[in-house]
Amino acid sequence: MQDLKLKLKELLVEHLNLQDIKPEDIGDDQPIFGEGLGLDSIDALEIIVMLQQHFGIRLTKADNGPQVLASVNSMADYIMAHPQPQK
Amino acid sequence: MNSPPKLLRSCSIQNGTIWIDGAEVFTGPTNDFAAFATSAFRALTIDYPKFYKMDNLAKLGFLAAEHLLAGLNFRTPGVADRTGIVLANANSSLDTDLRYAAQVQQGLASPALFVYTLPNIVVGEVCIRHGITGENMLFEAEHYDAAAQVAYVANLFAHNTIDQCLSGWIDLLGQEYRAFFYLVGAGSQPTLPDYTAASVETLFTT
Repeated sequence: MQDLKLKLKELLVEHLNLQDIKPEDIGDDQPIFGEGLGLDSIDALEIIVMLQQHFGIRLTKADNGPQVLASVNSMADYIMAHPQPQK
Repeated sequence: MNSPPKLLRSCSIQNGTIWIDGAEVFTGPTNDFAAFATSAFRALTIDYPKFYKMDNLAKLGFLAAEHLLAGLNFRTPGVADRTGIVLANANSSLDTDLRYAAQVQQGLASPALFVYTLPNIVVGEVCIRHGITGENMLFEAEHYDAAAQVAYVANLFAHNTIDQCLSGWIDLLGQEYRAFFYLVGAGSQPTLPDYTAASVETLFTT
């Protein structure tokens, strides 16, 4: 689980061009949006694409996207609860 | 505006160098625009993380505007909406369009890249950064046409639409780029050039 959370943090920094933030600076429970990392709606779309690209996760509105994308913890929990078949 | 508009200041960026009113103010890597843009941005020592999310055309415009408008405040009633932006370029947003098309062919494309697949997004980034809300326009042209641009901006002045305008040329494709921004408006200093096609052309070519 810790490996997954670290991987998510590294992907967030890479995909969202968070140049001044290191993966280890992102707290597991830190809010991703709003006062947290200061991300916007385009960043939310970018994270959805990132989850699909790297974990095969397809988020829809019915999947409570805002709750899933709230923090690294919530994303990791969702990925673990929705294992994707190996290609 | 009671008096004829003057060319107040200019900024040019090309080949890893930034000039203000003809004086070199920054030099960086010449063979890689992304590296140059990052080094030029860090040299400004400003906190604006959105810069890193911009495409290369927007980064070029952001840097040129940052230098051109240094020390000026447009976030004042009666100023923000009386300041215009009129630019032109040749390659539109082709640099980002090509990157986006390549991503589409690979399957999953970046939404953050998609938002830059329009050339006038660079104008929007400058407006957001400086609080400018007046008339804005970005023309597509094969080459910089100072006469056409001056005529357009002069028409905005003549119709009392704006009091000042950021204008010029911004073009980028791959590692080829050029930004030429100038600010035109009321100026009392007699040494300031009049706003004519000839004076703008002279600034552009020198």
